[in-house]
Amino acid sequence: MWKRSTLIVLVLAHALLHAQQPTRGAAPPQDTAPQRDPARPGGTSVIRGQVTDAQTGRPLRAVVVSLYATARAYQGGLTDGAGRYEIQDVVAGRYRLVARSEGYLTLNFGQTRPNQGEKPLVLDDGQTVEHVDFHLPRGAAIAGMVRDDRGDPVAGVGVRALATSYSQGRRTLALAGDTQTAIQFTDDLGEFRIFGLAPGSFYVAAVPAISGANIESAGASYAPTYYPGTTNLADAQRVNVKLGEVTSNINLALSPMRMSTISAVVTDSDGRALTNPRLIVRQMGAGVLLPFNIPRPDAAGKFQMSGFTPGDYEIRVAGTSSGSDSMPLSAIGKVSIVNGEDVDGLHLVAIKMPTGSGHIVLSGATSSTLGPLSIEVVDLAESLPYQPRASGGGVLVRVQSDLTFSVTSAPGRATLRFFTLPRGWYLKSIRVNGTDVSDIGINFPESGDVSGIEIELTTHPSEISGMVRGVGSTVVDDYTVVVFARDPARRKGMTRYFATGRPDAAAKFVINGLPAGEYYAIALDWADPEASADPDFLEPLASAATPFTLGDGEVTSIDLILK
Amino acid sequence: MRYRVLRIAIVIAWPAIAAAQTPPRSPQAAPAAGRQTSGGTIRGHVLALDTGRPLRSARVQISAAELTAPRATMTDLDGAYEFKNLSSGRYTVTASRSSYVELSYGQTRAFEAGKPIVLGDTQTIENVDLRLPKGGAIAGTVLDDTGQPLIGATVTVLKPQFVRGIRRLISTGTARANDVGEYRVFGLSPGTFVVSAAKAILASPDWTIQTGTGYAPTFFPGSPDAASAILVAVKQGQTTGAIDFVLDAKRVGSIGGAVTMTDGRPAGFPATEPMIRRIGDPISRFTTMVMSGDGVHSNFRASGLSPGDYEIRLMPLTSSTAAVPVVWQGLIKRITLDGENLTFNLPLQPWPTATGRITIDPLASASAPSGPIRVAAINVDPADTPPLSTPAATVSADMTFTVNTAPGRMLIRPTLPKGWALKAVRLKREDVTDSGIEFASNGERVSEIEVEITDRITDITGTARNAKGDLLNDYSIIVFPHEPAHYGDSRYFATARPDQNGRFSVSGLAPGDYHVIAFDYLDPGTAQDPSLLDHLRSDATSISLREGESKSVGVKVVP
Repeated sequence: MWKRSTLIVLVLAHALLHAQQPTRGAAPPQDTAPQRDPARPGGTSVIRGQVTDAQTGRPLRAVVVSLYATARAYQGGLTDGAGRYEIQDVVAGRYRLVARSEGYLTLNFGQTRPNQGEKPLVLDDGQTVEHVDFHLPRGAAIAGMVRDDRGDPVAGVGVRALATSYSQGRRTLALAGDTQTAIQFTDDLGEFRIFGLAPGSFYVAAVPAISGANIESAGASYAPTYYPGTTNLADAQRVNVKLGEVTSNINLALSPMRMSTISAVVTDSDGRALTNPRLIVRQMGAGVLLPFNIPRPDAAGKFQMSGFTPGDYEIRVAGTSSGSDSMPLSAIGKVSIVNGEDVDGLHLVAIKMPTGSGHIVLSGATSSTLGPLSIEVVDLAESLPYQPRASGGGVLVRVQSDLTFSVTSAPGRATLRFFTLPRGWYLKSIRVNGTDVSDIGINFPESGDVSGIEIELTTHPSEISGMVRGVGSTVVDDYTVVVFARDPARRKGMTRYFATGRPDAAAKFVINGLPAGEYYAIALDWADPEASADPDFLEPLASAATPFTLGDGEVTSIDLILK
Repeated sequence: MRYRVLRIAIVIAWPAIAAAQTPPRSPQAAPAAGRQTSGGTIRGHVLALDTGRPLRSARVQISAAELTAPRATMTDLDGAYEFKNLSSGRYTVTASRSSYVELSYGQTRAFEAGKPIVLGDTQTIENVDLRLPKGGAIAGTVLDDTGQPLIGATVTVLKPQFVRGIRRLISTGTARANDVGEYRVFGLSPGTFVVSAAKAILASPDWTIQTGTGYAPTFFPGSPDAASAILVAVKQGQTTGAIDFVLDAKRVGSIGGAVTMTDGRPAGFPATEPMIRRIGDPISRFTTMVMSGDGVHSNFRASGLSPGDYEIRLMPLTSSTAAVPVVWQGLIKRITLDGENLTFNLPLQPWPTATGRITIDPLASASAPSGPIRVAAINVDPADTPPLSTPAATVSADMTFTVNTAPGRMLIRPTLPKGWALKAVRLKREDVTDSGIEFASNGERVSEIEVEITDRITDITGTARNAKGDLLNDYSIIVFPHEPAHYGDSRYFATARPDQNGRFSVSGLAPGDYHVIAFDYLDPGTAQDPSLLDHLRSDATSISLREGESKSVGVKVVP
């Protein structure tokens, strides 16, 4: 939001500046005659292919095929009546290519099924790559009905399938299916149908819709309920879904309950309200959260939140002191909600947030190739079900041009990560006053700051590459290599000692940037790059894996046999 | 033909709710037992009209002139709600719940205005109960021309409404087709609707899509434009099924380029984002284009555009605070696309400004209104959907005004305190009250506009009787001009509902000849339909209003 308003102010200043300049002597006015599209990339490569239904072979129309060089797509093709697409003007480089069509499973280039590691598409100048085809499998569906305790259909309840996943060192529940259709709301008959699902095993959760802003009393509603009809995730049953099939009669019964309200005040230790306070509320140990309307504390620091179901909650407030020092402050409160009772008079006292300061150390190339960098603080405490929580609301902090930085964090263990690193640069280590904390994180104290943080970046990362052979020593061109630490302790949490690799066009895999250490490597037919970080998944693989040792910045090769 | 369709909407579709909506309990003032000084209370229940059972988790909203913003709450396990700490005033209570029709207290039919609840200081009013009728539904399938489901296609249910004499379609519900192409739009009020299906290309920020196949928006039963759509009737609480669509594949195109200053220099990041709209698409909604840039250059892009005519608008940045300077520049551009990728620049144009002064009718009894006056420029062509809305300007203490406007022909209209009305707008002594002023697209300044206002305003009051001659308490009236050219102008057109004594009142209409007609029920959205008004002329009571004249009239309700 702030970003947008800043832009508006900048524009105004810019426009005014121009408006005040005399028009005499300015460049001759240009009319609206078409000129070169400034938004269009100026490359000379072309990608062509076809998208078809994997089961029927029928061409799929109006499918967007997007080309990703970084995290965002800048180019794409749209299939025509014969399912064919073309992407022109592509700059030479290494790309991900993704075909996405609602109701079908999204595939990346190199995948024949979802969750498989993908392959990069490498393009040279002037090259035309033909037959970059996608055969999209039809998604599976889960259909059912949501009723209340009287047997009446409940409309407007958001039903979603949740898959267990392994992310940032934790087992989490993630929304299954395409993000646009992952949550399906029940209609007036109470019916829902979640589609576009990959085969797998899912929890099905029904969550009432948010009741709108500025509700005085949340009244009666329903707690998030899991199939077959429990509010406790531990008692939920998973629904098994086969490739492209419909699983019906997944019916849920909801029990209405009174929603609780929390009334609270947040101040600094002198009882003064904070400036610009922001609230983060989470339920501990929940599979899914009721959507909250997060209020803003008033001028006296008072706020009221409605719509809590029984459970344990954490409320965090971040803001700045109202004094002239504008110090960042934060408060953390824990609340237990029992049986529809309200919580009144909760007083949260905000204390100064610890800051962490330091600088970036470069080994290899100079900062001129680095460009602007942004750092994010990642809390290493228990994460939210859907995403890792960042302290201070996940704010990105810009690294100064002299490569120094200063971040604030809630007390506790947290680590720093870059929003994105420029191509060719890798994180080598994070040190605090010489001690390597890359794995354990930085301990932000209850009071006091952390200084002397060094983040080392390198352009000379370690590299493991190799080929994979199958039966009869033939080279395999479709596989996933999983590399993980020999020490089980280093498989837990947000570990750096884990990577997956997929073959390139020459059937070779390349993994860059692993820290020095003792590793196992194993080549599998396929593995979900996220889920395979689960220590329980890795443990049985150790006996069949190939051990190797990687030195600091070492470039080595290893050939593997497909398991 | 159109008239008959509308009569169905007005007369036949509504009685079901009307009959059933009579509340069994009337609101009553509770004895002020435990005298509380904390203000008044309104409480009641929300119930299902068909079963009489309490509706839990229904949203109840209360609004009044005394409240700066509406207050809202949710019903509890018994369907009960309560608003405390209310100051005295006239309150409107509205309840809504998914799959039910939203109603206000005292409202006998959907879309009609509710009746206010008059609350005294520290008074408690109980049993303000609302009975919500179950909504109707429209269901069907969306397939492509090869018979395959168009997964994710959006179906929109549109209600025809007349705004300034022009038929507009207002979205009242939407749904997306699932993996077998089925959709269901529910919670609909009874009525007749235009139903449209469209399949958007999955958008993603910042990309460049090249041409391919897409689908053109289609109106039931298979028309490319809304005018030839067949209306779909929905009865109360019932499902109208088999409203099936087949969408034809079309080659879609894209547009892209840079937003520039008037002289072609890069525009930096523009103040507002360019928006694009398909001309003739009744869903009066612009899509914001994808923007990218480096702070100096500002590029726009829109992809997946099916063949047709489009309008691009870039509205100037507006600000309510005078401290922020406003650069009054914008642009309106029309293009035609037929599946190609077009590249062009959008140069910002300085937009026009109008200056003038407010004058007082020499015969006015007061020397000036006591409240603030605002002046706005309103586009004359009401077919322009959505209207070009530019901000109104406040008249300064010396009675002068400067108002920014979009290019084109504009009416100058003041917003006046109660008891005052516009008498005439003149440009350099020429009367332009109803003809408007043409503003050039080059940022020309039009000055010497005179807006004459008067407190000698017209007033019509009256009562309505049914065919048996009984005086009625509940009805709606339309006052419309003899001159059809003025049908769509708010100076010559009004609707009203009676007060608790059954009297209606309309004041501030321009002097002239009028028809007055009463209805048992009137959907405000259809009142300005010119064909309806033409048809009503013969049944209506005719009256003539001179400047400052008050008239009383008795009208008969049209059966």
